[in-house]
Amino acid sequence: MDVERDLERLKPVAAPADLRRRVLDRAAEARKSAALSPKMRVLAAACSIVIITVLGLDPLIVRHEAARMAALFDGRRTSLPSGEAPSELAEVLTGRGRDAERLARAELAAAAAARKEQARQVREAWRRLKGWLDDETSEDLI
Amino acid sequence: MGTGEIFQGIDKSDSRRGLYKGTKKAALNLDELYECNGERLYRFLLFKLGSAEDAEDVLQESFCRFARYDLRWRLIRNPQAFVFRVARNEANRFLKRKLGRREGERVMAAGGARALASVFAAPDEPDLALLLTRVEELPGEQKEAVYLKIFGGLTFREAASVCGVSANTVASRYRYGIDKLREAMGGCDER
Repeated sequence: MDVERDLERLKPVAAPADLRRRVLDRAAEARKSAALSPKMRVLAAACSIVIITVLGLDPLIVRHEAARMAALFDGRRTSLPSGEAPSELAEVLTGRGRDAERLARAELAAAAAARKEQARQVREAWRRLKGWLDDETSEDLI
Repeated sequence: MGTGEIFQGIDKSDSRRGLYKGTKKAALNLDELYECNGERLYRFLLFKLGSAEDAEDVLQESFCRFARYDLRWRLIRNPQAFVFRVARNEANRFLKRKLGRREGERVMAAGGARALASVFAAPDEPDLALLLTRVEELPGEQKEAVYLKIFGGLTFREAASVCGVSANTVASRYRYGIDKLREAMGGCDER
């Protein structure tokens, strides 16, 4: 008796009438109510590309802006290409712009200079303190 | 059975090599998909679940999934194994929902009670009836391997991807199952 051949002789039961129609009707409904139609897919892909581009450019924009701000507060030149407007500090120094703007910018520049001096003093204090605790014990500190 | 015909405008060789990927014509044709696999899937689900109503529900749910997988179809290399896999997963989810997680997993592992009796008409020949009873007595994994190979018409590789195991494992399960059947039917001397 060849088991495999005998198994193939078994007759499967017939599928219920109308099964095909019921299955395909429901599948067609599911397809209609699919989350994204082809047009929506294209739109979603386009939106994704825009979002990715913006996210990719964001660090560059932030870096550029940070360089510009640093140049403004430290008195260095900005990274603007030649031919563009000069930095705000240069405008203050060369006397361009309105009085109120020049005054505000001069105050900003002065504040930046003060912060720079303060930072220099803190660094100096740290440098002097370096190694101060090396020869101390915990009991001495109490 | 042609797997390529289920994609409109794509020939069989193209679909087997996955060359329909990205072509505009490669839209899934549900009619052809049912024509190729519908009844086989229905009987497989009947085998897994043991109830005509449950099998029909799960078949409908499986086809809803196929309809929603419009994009994924273009990436599938073997649609025949894929449809069985989806139907099997859907049947497992159905059993877990219906019987609860623990009992559902137990039924999945053991195979449905009297599963084959619901798939096949009662044979007139006593030997065939006895054989059917013996197949029912096989462990669930071996029974599934025998079913997929002989009644599902899948290769060992396809059956392996349906069950989520290696082809060697499926082949072993099949061989052990057939050996047990031969032994039970008194056919050991014919090997």
